[in-house]
Amino acid sequence: MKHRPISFRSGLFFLFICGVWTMVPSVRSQQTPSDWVAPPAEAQRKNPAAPIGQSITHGQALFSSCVICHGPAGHGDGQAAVALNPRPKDLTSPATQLQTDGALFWKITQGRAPMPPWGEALSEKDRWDLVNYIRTLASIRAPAEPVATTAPAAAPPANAGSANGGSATISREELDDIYRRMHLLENQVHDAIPGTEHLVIAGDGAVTFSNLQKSSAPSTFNAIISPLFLWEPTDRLLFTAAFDLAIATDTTGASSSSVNINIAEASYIVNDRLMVGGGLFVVPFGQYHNHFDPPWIEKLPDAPLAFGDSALGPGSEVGIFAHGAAPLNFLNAPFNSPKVVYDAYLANGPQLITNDPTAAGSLNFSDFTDLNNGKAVGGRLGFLPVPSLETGYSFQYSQASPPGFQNTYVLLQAADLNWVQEVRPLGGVITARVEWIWSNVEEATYDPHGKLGFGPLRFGNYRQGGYAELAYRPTLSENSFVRNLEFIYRFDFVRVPVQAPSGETEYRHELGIDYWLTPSVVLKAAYAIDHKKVASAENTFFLQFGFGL
Amino acid sequence: MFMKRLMILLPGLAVAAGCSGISASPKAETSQKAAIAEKPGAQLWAENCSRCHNFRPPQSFNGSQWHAVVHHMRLRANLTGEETRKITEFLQASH
Repeated sequence: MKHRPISFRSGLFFLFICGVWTMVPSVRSQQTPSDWVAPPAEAQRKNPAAPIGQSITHGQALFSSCVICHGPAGHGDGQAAVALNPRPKDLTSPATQLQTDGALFWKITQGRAPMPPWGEALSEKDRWDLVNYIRTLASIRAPAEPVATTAPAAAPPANAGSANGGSATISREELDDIYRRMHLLENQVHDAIPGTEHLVIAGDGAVTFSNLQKSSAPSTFNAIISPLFLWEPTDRLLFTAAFDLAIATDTTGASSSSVNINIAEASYIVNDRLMVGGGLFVVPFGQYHNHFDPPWIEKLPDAPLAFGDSALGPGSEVGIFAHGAAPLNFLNAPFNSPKVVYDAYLANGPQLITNDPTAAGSLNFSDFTDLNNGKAVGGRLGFLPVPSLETGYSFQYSQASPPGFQNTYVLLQAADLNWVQEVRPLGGVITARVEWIWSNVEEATYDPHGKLGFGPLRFGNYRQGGYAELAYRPTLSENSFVRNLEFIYRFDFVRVPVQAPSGETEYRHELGIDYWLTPSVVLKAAYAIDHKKVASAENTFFLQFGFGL
Repeated sequence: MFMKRLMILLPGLAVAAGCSGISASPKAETSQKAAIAEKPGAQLWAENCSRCHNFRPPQSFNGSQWHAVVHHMRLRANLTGEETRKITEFLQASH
């Protein structure tokens, strides 16, 4: 019998699966055991609020702050639950319901990361009302408060040692105060790591394996790491620097390393609705670069064509900017905390390539020098009718031609939509993202006198590109492995005029599966089915390990 | 043709999403519908951060780091000043 050698690709896939399996238990084992126990004196405190109508209704209203993590019915399955460790407790379970009112009150008051302490935000009465509401969530009715705990509650144990009644005892208020101070001290100790105040070094990175399916070109690994520096010398001022350190290999076997600065900016908070700044900044053109670019946010291993390899719009530019957001309170009735967001900027803008026979007519977004005095002016106006939906329109108008070439103006426009919604009947979160770019470069004649050997070349230089992405993550699944999976489909395309020497019309369908090891560490596998109008297209298989810090 | 399709697709999706956000919320969640000023930090954290990325657990950074990180996110995600303050307070209290 003939044995088939195991192909490299299936070997790699096996490694990927092994990686997922070996890391699952380690992620699970991080969960701390349930060692959160109220001190006996606290557990025995008696609830002064009778568990009747008004108290429960008030508690229910306050419970809206808890829903995000504990879920609408208190099952510990709120929207944020999937990211939290330890996971939010199921408030309906016997484990919770068999605790005394005093114990629940103490836990609400003190909190334990990631649960915040509510002792300051909520009054004592609020917290007791909340306890009364939590009681109504019980899946099994707990027995009336055990007799054993009610008796000493009349004479709390703090009093036990003091025979002559009271003067040496610690009152409830004092005890609360001690706990509060202890928590503050703990926080201050955390904050006091030398060099960490007002300065954050974070960032992200990825290792990507890609394999073209048809050609004989070898499969290859690429790597990128992008440190991010934040320095906040005052509450209003923020300095940001970010750059990509990348190793790229191409199909011819050549490799190149690159350092690209993406952000080097200073920004200042003018008021609640306005920030201004300058430097090298991420251009608010559509949402992709501003919102989804980092490999722990982008759900697929590669960027959509129009925002990546065949960029039709800007990524970063040098200039000045203003931006902000304002609530639209008058629209509250039909919507849910509606908001308008706005951005405006003045920058050097893109460069029109005019004398390269292989690229004439396309725009260079990665060289930041300006070729003329016509600056790029642009902006974005966005609307969020509900917090889970953001739509926007962006534009940029610039003179992009080099000296000696006819004045050529460029109008770039983009429309974007991002919708992320937990859909309980589907057991998870649905993400839908759509962005479209229209690039209109004024008609011009390249190499008008034929001196460069490819002209005169004149064509209507109108390009389009975009993507539509749909993803589903079963965040409400009981099974932690399933909960961390995400399934993604994306269609992306670019349309380039036939006469243009560079770029070509291309569209792709890409399917992916992600496994989230933590909220910001992800393993991705994807397959892109590629169609090109002229050249032969190649499908690509990707694996990626992406992370954010 | 793409333009035409888009003109149908974009508003269509927007309306569908808007409606689901407005009316599909079950009874228990109706109390979540409120102006930004009335919402607690925990809710603003959940609603705004999850629009783009997974929730980063409050323990990811310490208090002063969260201050700078949320300031950075105010730039990235166009948060209002009020949202920034409430989200920062929530994360500082929960880390």
